[in-house]
Amino acid sequence: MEDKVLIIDIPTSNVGSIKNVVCDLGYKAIISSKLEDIQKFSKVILPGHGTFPAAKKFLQEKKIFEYLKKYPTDKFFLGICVGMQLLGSCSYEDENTEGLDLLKGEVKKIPCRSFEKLPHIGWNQIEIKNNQSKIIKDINLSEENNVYFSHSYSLNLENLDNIVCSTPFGKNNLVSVAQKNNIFGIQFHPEKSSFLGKKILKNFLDL
Amino acid sequence: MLKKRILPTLLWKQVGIVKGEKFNSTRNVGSVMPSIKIYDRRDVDGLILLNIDETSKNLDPNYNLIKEFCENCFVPFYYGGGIRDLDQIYNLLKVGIDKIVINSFLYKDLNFLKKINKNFGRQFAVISIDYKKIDNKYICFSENGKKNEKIEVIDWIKKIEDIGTSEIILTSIDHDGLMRGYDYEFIEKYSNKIKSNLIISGGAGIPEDMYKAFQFKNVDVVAAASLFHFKEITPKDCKFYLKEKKINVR
Amino acid sequence: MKYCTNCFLPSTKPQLTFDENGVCSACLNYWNRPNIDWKKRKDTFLNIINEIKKNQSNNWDCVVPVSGGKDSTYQALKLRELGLNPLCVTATTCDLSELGRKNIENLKQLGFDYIEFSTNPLVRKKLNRIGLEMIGDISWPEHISINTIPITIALKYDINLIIWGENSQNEYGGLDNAAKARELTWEWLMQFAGFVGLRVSDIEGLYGLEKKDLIPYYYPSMEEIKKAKIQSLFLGYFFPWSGYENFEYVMKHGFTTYDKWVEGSYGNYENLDNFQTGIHDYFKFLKFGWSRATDILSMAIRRKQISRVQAFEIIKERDGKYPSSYLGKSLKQILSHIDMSIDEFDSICDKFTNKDIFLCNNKGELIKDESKSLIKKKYDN
Repeated sequence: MEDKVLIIDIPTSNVGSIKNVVCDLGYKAIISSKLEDIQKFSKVILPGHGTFPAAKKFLQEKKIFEYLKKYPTDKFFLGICVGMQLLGSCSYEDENTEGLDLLKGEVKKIPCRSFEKLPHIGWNQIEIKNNQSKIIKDINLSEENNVYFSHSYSLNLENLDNIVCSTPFGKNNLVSVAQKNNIFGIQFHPEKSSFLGKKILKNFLDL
Repeated sequence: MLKKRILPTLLWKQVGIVKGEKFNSTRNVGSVMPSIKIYDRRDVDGLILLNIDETSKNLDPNYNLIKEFCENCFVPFYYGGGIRDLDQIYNLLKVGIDKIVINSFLYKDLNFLKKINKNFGRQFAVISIDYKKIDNKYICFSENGKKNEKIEVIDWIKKIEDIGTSEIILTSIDHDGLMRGYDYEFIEKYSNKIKSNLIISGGAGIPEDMYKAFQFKNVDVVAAASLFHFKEITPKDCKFYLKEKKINVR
Repeated sequence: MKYCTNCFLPSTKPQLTFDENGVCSACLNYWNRPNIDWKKRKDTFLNIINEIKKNQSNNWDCVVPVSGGKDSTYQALKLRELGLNPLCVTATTCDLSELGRKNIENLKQLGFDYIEFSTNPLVRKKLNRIGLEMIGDISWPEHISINTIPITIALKYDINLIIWGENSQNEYGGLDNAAKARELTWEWLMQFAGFVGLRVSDIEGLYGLEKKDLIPYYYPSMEEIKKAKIQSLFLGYFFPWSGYENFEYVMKHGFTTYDKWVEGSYGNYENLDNFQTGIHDYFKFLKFGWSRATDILSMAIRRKQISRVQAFEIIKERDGKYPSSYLGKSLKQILSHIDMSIDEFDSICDKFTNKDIFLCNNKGELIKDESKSLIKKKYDN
């Protein structure tokens, strides 16, 4: 088990926050946007903040985008918030933009119910749809079920088997945790989600 | 279900944490780091740190210090105080801040909000509006309550929402620090006209004050400062009270 | 950061206020003393004593929290002189020095019923560590226990009067209405007794500590205190308080001083019982830019025992220096008592330092002199 993880340094993202928690969990975090660094690590986190098109543009400028599209199957990848959305096939935020297509699905604005507002900000619960996924191993939702969200768009997965957890927000519920083999996505911010968030993040780091 | 939140607020001057009373904040109550660590330990819904130091208002935020605070704060961390350019925001994000609170500068340059949204997305900036009631109108004030911006709160909010934002903090200067309750009159009149996530601030003294604020369905979050510093009440105590009253909190 | 134009207390000190001439509230309180009707206050106190004596005969008249130090020794003797039969209560300190032990025994030998409540030292060490790590105050558990244990004992023994010494808000400059208080209420306690907002309930679960380990630290409920009608008074409200006069008084009653000036302080008669006090005082300096020497010299300036200019020299030389030793014991030894290394200690120091008030290099790192002490940006206005 490697004790190091790379966090892709997207300037508009909260890399600082994620690094703090990763270190607190006993792992080392390297922050970089260089392709050669990303290729060295067996665990990579793509953080999220900002807009999908802006994040994608940055990845392209750094020549990382093409590499990530064909992410090696023997390494692990985690996208958080906009990072998770980038795993999708395309996004409708601002302009129609292609994603990494690692998790098939479209990123669209969340269709709210009448009593809901956008952005979806604050603490909400997760419901487990696939309890085999290692990223939610040993999670006890009866003790604590609140994670922190901050987004207006979400990834609508084509393959429902990729849904690990959903959250009751929006007309269709939204996907809060997703997995396809070695690719993971978390829509909320595990680094800011107290005990439950830390446990989920640790599960990824322990892979 | 999305929970209602309670956000403790720390007012920061060079001397340390201060207590405000109608925005006069001369009472120094302690140093910053212990407060951050205590709130982190208490696992609060989020924490707001506002730098209201006048002497440093034209300077950049103290990134080194803020970085240290962030390293000790694992809850959603809001920072505000004199923010006026994108570089400052990049740097704050880099050291670990989760949300930026902007107030005075927008009255000078509302376009700045457009730039922030374009670069960082709409859920990042939080707009803080301080107001006083003058001749039955609610008027915006900037510069820590010193400058009358001569615009009504509801008109200013409309301009902000036309551009787009995620959360709006509304602080009643008249109620600030008195611990006698929030400005329910204002909330009743205007809260359902606000589309963004709404944070009410100024005046909390007992958990019941928070309950009364949450009676207005459009209020999503309450913020409080004096209450937590000067009474034996903790955010958790407030939550127990609110839970008993069937308010959906974490 | 500005300083009082009379003494040297700084604006960073919590609760301190200044008048239009830049004079701080501690000085103003002191200067106001001649305007107080001390005779009336003394009479009030004597009336309180008379009431107590009417109601109770088989019980002690009051609890007096003591440490064996100059102030509490004076309190116990004074109360007896006034006709009360006090029960002395000591909540044992964190790292008791031989000198502290000697003075405790001296107080006992002066003829008092005495309860010495020692908390579990293994738990205490963890609490010292937690206090230091969480809020930069190694003495946090001491503040809690010396305020809690006397009242717990008063409840258990059915004694409904506790007599404390000075109102620190008055002596050291605090909020007006708090400074004028004669009574130590829960509100006063929460704000001013050095808890720094950290509650005992906040630390349950840290370092394996459970509720059962923390029993002595939980403050009794308001209901219990109200039901027992416990009154908690400051002796310093009823009689003009002077640390130095207390010292002179107790010297005639067997009190032993340190053989030189205490490190970081001015004088050899204060804070002699707890080796950790040096660390506590140092963190005050790191957070706020003032420490023990400033406090004592400021009091001396007020009493015209020393000029401001003379005090300034001593403050610059002694105040807030890195605590490499205290009462002759090395920092390494003091820290080993709580299983902490000097490196760990140093990094905690930096974490709680208010870097706005000290000199830093252009990388934002604190500048330290050869004794590892920090240098303030300014030492006077």
